[in-house]
Amino acid sequence: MNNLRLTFALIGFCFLAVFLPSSRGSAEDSFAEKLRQSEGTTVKWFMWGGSPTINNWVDGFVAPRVKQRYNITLQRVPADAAVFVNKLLTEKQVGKATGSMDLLWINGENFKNARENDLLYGPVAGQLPNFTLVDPATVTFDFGYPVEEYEIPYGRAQFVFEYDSAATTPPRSFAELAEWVQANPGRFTYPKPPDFTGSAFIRQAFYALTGGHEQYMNGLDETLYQEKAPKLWAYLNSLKPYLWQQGRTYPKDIGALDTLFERGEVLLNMSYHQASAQSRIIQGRYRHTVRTFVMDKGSIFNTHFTAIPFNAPNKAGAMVVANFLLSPEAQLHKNNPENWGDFTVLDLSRLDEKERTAFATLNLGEATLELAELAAAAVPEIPSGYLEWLERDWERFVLRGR
Amino acid sequence: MMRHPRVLLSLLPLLIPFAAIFLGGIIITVLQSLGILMFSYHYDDIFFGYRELLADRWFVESALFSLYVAATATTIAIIFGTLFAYLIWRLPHRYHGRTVIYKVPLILPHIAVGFMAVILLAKTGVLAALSYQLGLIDSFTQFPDLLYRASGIDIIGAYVYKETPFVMVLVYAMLSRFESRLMDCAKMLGASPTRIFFTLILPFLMPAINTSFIILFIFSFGGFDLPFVLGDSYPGMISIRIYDYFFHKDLALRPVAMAMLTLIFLMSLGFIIAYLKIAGKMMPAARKL
Repeated sequence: MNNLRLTFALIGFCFLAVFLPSSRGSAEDSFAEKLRQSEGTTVKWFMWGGSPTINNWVDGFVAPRVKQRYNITLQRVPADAAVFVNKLLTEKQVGKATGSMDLLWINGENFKNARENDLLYGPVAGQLPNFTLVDPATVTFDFGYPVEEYEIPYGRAQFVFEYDSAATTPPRSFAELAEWVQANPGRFTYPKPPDFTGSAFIRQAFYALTGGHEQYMNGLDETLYQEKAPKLWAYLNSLKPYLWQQGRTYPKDIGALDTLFERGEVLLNMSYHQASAQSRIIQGRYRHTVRTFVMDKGSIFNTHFTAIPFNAPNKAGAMVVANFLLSPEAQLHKNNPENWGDFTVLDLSRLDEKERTAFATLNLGEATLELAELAAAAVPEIPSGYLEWLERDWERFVLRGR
Repeated sequence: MMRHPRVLLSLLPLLIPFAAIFLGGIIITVLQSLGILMFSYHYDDIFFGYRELLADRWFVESALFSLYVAATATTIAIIFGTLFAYLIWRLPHRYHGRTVIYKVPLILPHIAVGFMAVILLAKTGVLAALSYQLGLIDSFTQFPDLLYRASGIDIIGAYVYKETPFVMVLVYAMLSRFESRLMDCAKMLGASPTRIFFTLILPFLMPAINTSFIILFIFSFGGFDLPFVLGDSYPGMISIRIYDYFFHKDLALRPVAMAMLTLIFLMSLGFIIAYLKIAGKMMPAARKL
């Protein structure tokens, strides 16, 4: 028995010595315990499954690594965040103390819904050694909702537009977009909010048309919203006659718009993922001439996270996997557009020289904008209360206002 | 029923899942529509969901649109299905086996029919490409908008394609029990083929037609998959509105989604009762479903 313990302790110590050079003392001790507990277990990770690239990254990179290093079997379960938050709610309601999900990929409204109903285990991020590589100031809020270490940062995405450089010259501002749309009737549209990307598109237009994002960062202000929002509705309604299908209907989600763009039915596309055009060129779905651009008045970025349900059967295993996802190795691999292209959440100044260079020399591909250009345009997400108002009123004033 | 406890007992294996799953689901739906059992949210007004719903003209528009799509699609499918079944039945018997091909849409899932429609009819779909190759249009932008129409023709068309064979199966089964000597008799007495169809055949078929009308109408009224793939953003079928409320909006609005589900259920129930009443009045013999 003593021998067994000693062996586990030694294994744990080796892991810490090798993989976690910059971790904190107290976190280290309890994390070694987590490593020991999670040996030989299975972690069920519920995540959005709509992207083959991301699925391949999880199945082909993350799963084999955590198996090899921590002897954890990672099972990816594809599900929409809204669906598993609903499932979790039902489990909470019927008092199911041991659920079926260990790790969730989550952010924004779904996180808010989950926190308001006390569905998450935490605070958890601070218990992970690799969290010390993140600048906590960059992950204090998720869509304006305090994170309080109930989520573990996972990746960063920024909104970009996509176009085929062989087919058109893109607009550079929302004013130019209006002219462009009139000159190319029927060749532009956006996914119907509350689709995630469509909703981000109207938020971005909202910032650009009403004088920037700063004014919305101090909590909800209904008077301000009522004063500013009509400008957005007037703008979107002025586009309507020139949209795809004369704006009578909108693609129901970003997947539907992607299809229209791939077939050439529309000339501009958008993505809440700065490197997705490059990944699609690599996959052969997009022509080699497809490029991305951001508008002058800024492009929204957000951080996405992992979280652990209150009733996760394998919390220790989930923490080990979440910690691995946050490691420089996984973050670097994920940042490569050949693998996925999702940007890192790590603070590069906290990494060692070798890791920093690896990130700096990453080839993001021709279709992805330079980091500096993206960073210069980056603006934060709006608090989710505004988001709900915008989605509700878009239906009222744009979709039905004909 | 009470006088036959053994009947009740032998029905238990069926009744328990019915009570637990079906009734249980309905009870929770109704409760949540009243703001009860709503996690950590509290509502001062138990009719919050219903008030929100009825104040919203969109709900009424969606309900009317669903009604229109379901009624149109079902009526067309019934007419086509009955006619085709009758024509097949009139064929010499040795050809009946070959007509099995009409059953193909029966085995296709609704969602597959939806995707077929998109692949064929989209502006950059197969038909548009064909018209372009044949020189009928110069660019895909000239191809007519067949999908995502506010008139719902895409959904109606897909439902008709899917439902016609269903009607044919039911009607054909009924026809094969028809006493064909009655037809010979009518012919000898000088009745025209139209007269035979409307006074002899159709009344005989009414029970099958009524059954298929109710099944198909209720199904397409609340159906989700075809409107999800095809269909306009506005007003859109009612099932899509429920989906949006359930998955895409703030959880505090859950009672609204549940109120819609409750109303859909009540409406369907109402349709069945109304239809049976009308059908029963029109021909007493067809009352039995």
